[in-house]
Amino acid sequence: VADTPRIAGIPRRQRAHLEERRAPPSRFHWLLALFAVAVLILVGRALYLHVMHREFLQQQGDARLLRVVPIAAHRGRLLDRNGEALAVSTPVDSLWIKPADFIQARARWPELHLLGLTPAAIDKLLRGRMGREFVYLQRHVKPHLAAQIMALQLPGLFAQREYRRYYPNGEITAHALGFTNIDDIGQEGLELAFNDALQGIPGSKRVIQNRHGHIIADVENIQMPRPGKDVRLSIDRRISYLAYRELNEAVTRHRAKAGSLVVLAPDTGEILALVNQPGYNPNNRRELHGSRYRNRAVTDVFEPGSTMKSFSIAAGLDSGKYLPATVVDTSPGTLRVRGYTVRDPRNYGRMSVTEVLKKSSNVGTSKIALALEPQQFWHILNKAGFGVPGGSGFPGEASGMLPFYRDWRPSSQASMSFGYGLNTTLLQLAHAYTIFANDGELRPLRFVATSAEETPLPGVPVISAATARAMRTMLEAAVIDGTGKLAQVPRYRIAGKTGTAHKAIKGGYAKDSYTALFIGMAPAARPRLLVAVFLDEPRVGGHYGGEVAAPVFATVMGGALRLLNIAP
Amino acid sequence: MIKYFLPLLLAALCFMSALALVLVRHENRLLFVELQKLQNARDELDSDWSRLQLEYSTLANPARVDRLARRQLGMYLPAPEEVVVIHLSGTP
Repeated sequence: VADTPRIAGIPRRQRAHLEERRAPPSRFHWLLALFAVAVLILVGRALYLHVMHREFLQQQGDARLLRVVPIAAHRGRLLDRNGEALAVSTPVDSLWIKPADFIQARARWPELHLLGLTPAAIDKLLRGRMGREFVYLQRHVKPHLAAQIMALQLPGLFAQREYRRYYPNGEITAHALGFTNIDDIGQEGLELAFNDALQGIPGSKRVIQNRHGHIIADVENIQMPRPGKDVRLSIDRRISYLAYRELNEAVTRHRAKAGSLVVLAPDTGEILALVNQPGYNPNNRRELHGSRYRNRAVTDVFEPGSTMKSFSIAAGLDSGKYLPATVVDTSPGTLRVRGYTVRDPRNYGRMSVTEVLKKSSNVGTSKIALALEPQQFWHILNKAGFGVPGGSGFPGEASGMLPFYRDWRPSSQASMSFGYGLNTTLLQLAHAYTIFANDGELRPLRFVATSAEETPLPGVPVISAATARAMRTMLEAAVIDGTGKLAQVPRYRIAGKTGTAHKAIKGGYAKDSYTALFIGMAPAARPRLLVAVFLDEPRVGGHYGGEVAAPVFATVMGGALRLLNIAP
Repeated sequence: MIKYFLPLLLAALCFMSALALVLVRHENRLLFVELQKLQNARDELDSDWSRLQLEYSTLANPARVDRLARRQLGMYLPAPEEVVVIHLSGTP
């Protein structure tokens, strides 16, 4: 037999046993063939999968395993002019769940009490959301707490890195900065204006995840996140604090409805402080109501009242028709202009232009303004920025209203000369006043700090330098012994103008509701600071600008001069 | 012998390249793990930094400094009579 040698090594006893049961050769071959066929099928299948369908299968496999996940980018900080942080984004974790998996661990839900969540609250959250793949359980959880929660290893619970914005100065800088939404995108204020610079570009990475969607390993970085840039603002934190504190106190003391205060550096156009009352804490989203977060100094318009007289008189001086010493006859204390009567509180008689400004005479100012061509007067107001939109670039900024001179009647020219019949925002008015500080030039406002190497932007000449200087001297006189006495700051030369206006209501002006204003600059010889104070409807302790707004000006100006080390 | 030199050389090179590939792959994996570790450390430091910045800002908040200076240290703003202005260059 052919195969006998194969079993040569087996003991005789067993050999006999095997020989006895040996299968017929044909059956052996069949078996061999069967195995061969099986191997062929397997090899064929392997070839089919590995060679012919490789690409498709690889893709399908990867799709189940590999995921591209975003990496959040850090939002840039907002800094004050001295580099102090005003808005900072800190990393937080947002917890999210896959309801279908998460519900299986219902028995362990009480462990989430660390988040302040009860099983009943989670049930409520999941109601109607069972079919979803992604439901936020809680957003913006502190990282160490999130790590504690993730350590519980509940099925279907995931964490995602996000950033939350904090404003360490709270209410003080709230109106200027605005705020971001829950996704850290600017919504209001400077956060919105500089959103493009502040916002980073999120990156992405490829990861391997398991059957439950948990990330097991990172495979590669596709795109590194690009963090946003820091923006150094022109805002000064300390001056803002001072301004906010004083304004808050004045609004409370006089039970005013609202108030705004602006501090500018006239030579650079930088805005050093921009505060309002009522305020809000931007770190607490529950306080975000429009009436609180609106930046009134920029969005609300009012009739500027007597503060407008500075521009009327400047226009008179600039025309060459008047000098500060020119005598204007204001008797008998009233002036009729085409059926409209301009009144002074009493008959001031004959007085110089300086006296007109000092005593804030409506009649005198109207006479000066009426001596000008409407076009001439309008031109100066327009160039000073009244009625011009977009002066500062602050989001939601109002443009104010200045009627076109062709639509003026003589009475409107008179009323405009003392601040009725046109309106402006406080920032606009303060900006317009910088022409007196800058020797007649209007420089653009800016919210970004100037750096040493940049050349200042050129200004637009509005009035002559001589007129501007004469105006400063006259405005100084108004503070020394005019309407603005309470605006005095010991040792410093202050130039400024008070304003009190009746509030416009339906069909006329309210008898007993006023707005009180004071705008001034220091040192008068070469102004470095300009402060504008506005109080809306002061009800207790006086209502005149010189009584209510001037003291606020004095404290803020005095403090700011000291903070900036400006010598008297 | 010379006839087999080139194929042998290529085979050797091929073998070495295969080994190098394995080595590089391994190294890549190690470095990636290292990168991950460093990135996590950086994130941790970033987080600490922003927390400290906030803490600093909160502590240095003008309102707080003002309160501490007045209440704890008994400080106050000098009245104008208490201030002497010195002009270094003679005339003001």
